[in-house]
Amino acid sequence: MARRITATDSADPGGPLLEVTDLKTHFLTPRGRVRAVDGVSLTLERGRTLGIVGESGSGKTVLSRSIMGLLPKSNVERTGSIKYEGTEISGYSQSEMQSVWGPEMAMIFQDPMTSLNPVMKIGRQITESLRYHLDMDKAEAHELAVSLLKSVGIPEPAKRVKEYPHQLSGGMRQRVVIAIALACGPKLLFGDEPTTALDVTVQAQILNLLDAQQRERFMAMILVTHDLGVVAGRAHDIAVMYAGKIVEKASAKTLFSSMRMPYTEALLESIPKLEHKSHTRLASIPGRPPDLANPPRGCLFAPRCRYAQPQCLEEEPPLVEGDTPDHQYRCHFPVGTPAGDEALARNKAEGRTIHADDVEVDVSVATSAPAGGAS
Amino acid sequence: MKFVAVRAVQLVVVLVTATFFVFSLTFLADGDDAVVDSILQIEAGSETRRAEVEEGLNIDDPLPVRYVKWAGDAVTGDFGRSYVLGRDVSDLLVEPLKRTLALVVYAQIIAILLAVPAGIIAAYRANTWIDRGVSTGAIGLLAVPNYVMAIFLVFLFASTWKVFPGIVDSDLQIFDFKSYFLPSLSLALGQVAVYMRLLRTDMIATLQEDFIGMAKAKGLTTRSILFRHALRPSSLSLVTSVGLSTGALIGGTVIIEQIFAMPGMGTLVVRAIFQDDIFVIQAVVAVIAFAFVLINFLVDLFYAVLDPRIRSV
Repeated sequence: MARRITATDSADPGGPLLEVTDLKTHFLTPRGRVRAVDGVSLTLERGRTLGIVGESGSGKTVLSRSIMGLLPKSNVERTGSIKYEGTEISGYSQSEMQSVWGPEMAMIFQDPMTSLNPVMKIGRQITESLRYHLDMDKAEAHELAVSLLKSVGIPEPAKRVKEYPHQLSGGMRQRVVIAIALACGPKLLFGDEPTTALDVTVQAQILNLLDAQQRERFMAMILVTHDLGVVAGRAHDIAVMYAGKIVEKASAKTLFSSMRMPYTEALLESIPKLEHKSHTRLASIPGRPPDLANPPRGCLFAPRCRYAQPQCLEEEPPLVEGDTPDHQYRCHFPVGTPAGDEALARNKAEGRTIHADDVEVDVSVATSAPAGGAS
Repeated sequence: MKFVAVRAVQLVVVLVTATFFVFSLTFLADGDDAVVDSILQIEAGSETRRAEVEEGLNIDDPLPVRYVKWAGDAVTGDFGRSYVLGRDVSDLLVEPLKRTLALVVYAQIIAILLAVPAGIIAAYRANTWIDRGVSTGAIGLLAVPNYVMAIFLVFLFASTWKVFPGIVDSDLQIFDFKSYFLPSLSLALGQVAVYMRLLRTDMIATLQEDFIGMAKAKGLTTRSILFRHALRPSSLSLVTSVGLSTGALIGGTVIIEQIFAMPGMGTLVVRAIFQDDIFVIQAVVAVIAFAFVLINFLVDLFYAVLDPRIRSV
């Protein structure tokens, strides 16, 4: 078994670090085929940050785990191409992936209260991968573990390595999780909602820490979150996911200045703003994501969309190029275009935003059948 | 340390309660006069001995006082004298106790050595044919009573292949592994199923935990994930069960001892019961109660070793 991935030697160093093409990840459940990730393509250059944004059930977590190959084999069907440093890794076996996990790709899990082993000392949880992947001896690994803990801002690291996770606060634990992920110097770091389980006061600290580490190590990062606020100002590019598909993708600047997809607009509006008066009603997106085992025809967001027209319920919009390069979206009536303005004006004039009367899909159906399996 | 102190106090309370009941029951069952009568009958002593015997039993004292006197002697190892065999009970007890403890310890070691890998494999391959095969085999073992298993094993290993003795020496030594093999295995196989099922269930739950996903994402080997990360947090039920069944086995080896002609605690207590050897019965039950309580105390301590979160409670 090869311990180190050989991709580094054979690949063209100028190519992208990660290239995902038409990735599909379907769960075969008793209810049927759940299309958690349904044809996602993305490219990530070295040292860049990609934010993947979507609400619960949009498939963003499954996407990151699927790229990393962390999903179970049984009842999961994964197709498409995943190229890491130019090497196709989608066909790798579990033991081949073991040399990718750690030194090449690492993941920060969502909840630091459950992602550390409760019965193992923190030091050991860091040193075990150092010893296995980097062939360090006990003393070297211990020394590096202490300096890793120091670099993620843990006070008294020499003392902390001998402690157990329950002796640390949530924020400190997430720092330990980050230290573990960084231990073997990965080139690609996945952050799966890395701050969602933390106190708001700690969130910014952890995000800043990730930023600093990323710049220092020239590491690529995929930041998965439901909160556009988390990726704003941190991600170079943002992909918005809805119902297992990327519905809009652009550089962060373009996305925030000239978004085209009504879903992106709705996500942005649902972030509470400080300048709102108190007791302002929080904006929300009506309904729920569609049932991924039984997706509706047409645009998957149409039943919840205030721009939706009869065409949207019949015809799925393709991913089209926007005005600027690297901007893509799926919408028949894009926000900020004459077509979109006209659609919105028409809906407003008719006093309704959802054309549900002449088709079988309406909001109540979408609401009563929540998406299962995918989160 | 506070943890240990609290548990030690609990240990004493439980032990006093258990032995007090045993002490009272052995006398209350027949009544003091009946006990004195049977002692005199066995000794073929005259009525003049009666006063002596009655004094030896502290028959005029109230029950709690008699218990305290008995317990005071018992902690120094003095359980009185068997009037049937005419020897000190403690002398009668030592060798059988060592043999039975050795039998139980060996049986548990065998059971754990078989159950842990089986439970881990069954959990790791949950709901596959491997899991079903291992689980079915284990249930099959559980369904066979240990005395039937013993006879089958004797037939196989002692009669047919002649590799292990089917009957042990009357002065069996505790490190005579060859003689201990068949009795221990007979007791162990029934335990394997219980331990394996418990470990499998806990392990399946543990393997769903985030920290296992994280260990996998670190690129550790499957073996390392299963044994270093998943086994310890999955073993609390197993440890509890091993503790409880060790206590139960110490008092429950009678049939196996009979089959292999092993002079252990079971053999001792059966003889004592048939011969109304009151002091021996008291001593055996006290020792078993002590072992039971002590083992569960050790199990409690072991929880703290397994799970650091318990230590700070």
